[in-house]
Amino acid sequence: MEVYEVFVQRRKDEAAMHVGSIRSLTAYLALHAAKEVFTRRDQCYRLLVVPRTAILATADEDADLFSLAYSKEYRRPEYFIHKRLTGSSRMG
Amino acid sequence: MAGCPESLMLAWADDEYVVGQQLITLTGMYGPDLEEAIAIGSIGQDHLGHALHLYRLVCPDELTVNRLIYERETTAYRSCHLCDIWRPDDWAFIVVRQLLYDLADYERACWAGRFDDPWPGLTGMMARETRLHIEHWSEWCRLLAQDNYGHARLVEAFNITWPLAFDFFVAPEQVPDSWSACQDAWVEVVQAIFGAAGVPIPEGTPTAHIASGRSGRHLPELAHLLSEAHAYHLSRPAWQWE
Repeated sequence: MEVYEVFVQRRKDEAAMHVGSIRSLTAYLALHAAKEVFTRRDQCYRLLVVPRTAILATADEDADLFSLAYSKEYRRPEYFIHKRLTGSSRMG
Repeated sequence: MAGCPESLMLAWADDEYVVGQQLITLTGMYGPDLEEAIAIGSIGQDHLGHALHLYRLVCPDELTVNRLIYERETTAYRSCHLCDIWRPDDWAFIVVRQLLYDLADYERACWAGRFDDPWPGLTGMMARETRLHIEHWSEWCRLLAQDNYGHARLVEAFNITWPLAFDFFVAPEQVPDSWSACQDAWVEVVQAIFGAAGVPIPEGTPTAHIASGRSGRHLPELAHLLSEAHAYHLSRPAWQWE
C-alpha cells in the first residue's frame, strides 16, 4: 500500500494544483480513486497522481532556509531601479 | 434507424437503478480501504445518473418518473437477475458482479448507439463512463487473483454470478435480432479478463430462464432493496421539493 499525491489541473491552460493524497495498492487504482474522491464536483481537465516516494522534499527543520531570502534584497528587481533613481549606493 | 424500443429502455433503466442503489448503500461504510468506500458511492451515482437519463426518455414528465421509480411493485421492475443479486459484505462478489454487469452494459451501450437521436450522444457518454468502471473493477479482479485466498473468493463469486448473468441478455419484446450478438461479444471479453485471472469458466451457456427478471420474476434481494430504498417516499407520497 503506497501513498500517492494527487494534482488536479482544472483547465488546459492552468497549472496542476495539489489537492490531497490517496492510499492505494497500485498506481492505476490510485488514479481511479483520485477521480472518485477529488473530481466529484469541480471542473477537471487532467488528473495526476505521483507516488510520494518519487517526490523529493526539504525537511521541516530546513524551513528557515527559505525565510533568510527576505534579507537578500539585491535579488529583488526593484532594488536596482531604486538605486538608479536616487543615484545613491547601498553598497558603499 | 428507429428509436429504441421502450421495453429495452425500461429494462436498461431498471438495471442501472438497482445497481446504483445497491452501491450507494455502501458509501463510506464498506470497502477494502477508505478510498474504495468513497469511490463506490461515486460509481453508484454514475449508475443512478444513467438510470435517470433513461427514465426521462420513457416518461413524459418528472412526476411520472417519480411514480415509475417509487410506486411500482417489485414484479413490475424489469431488471435482470444479475442486478437483483446482492451480497454487500463480500468484496470479491462486488468486484465480480460489477465487472460482469459493466461489461454487458458496455456492449448494450455500444449496440444502442445505432438508434436515432439522442441515442448516439447518450450512449457515447454512458459507454465512456462504463469503460472507466470496467477498468476499475478489472484492476481489482487482477489484484484479488494474485494470492490464493483472493483467487478462491473470486472463483466462488464467479460461480454464483455467471449463471445469473445470462438473464441480462434475455431480450425484452420488440428488440431487434441484432441484440443476440451482444451476448457473444460479452462472453468473449469475459473469457479474456477472467481467464487472465485464472478463473475457470464453465463450457456452454446456461439455459434461458423461464422466470426471467425481464418478465418481472425477481430474486428476493430486489424486494428487500426496493422496500428499504422507497420507504421514505412512500411514507410521504404527496410531498414535493420546494
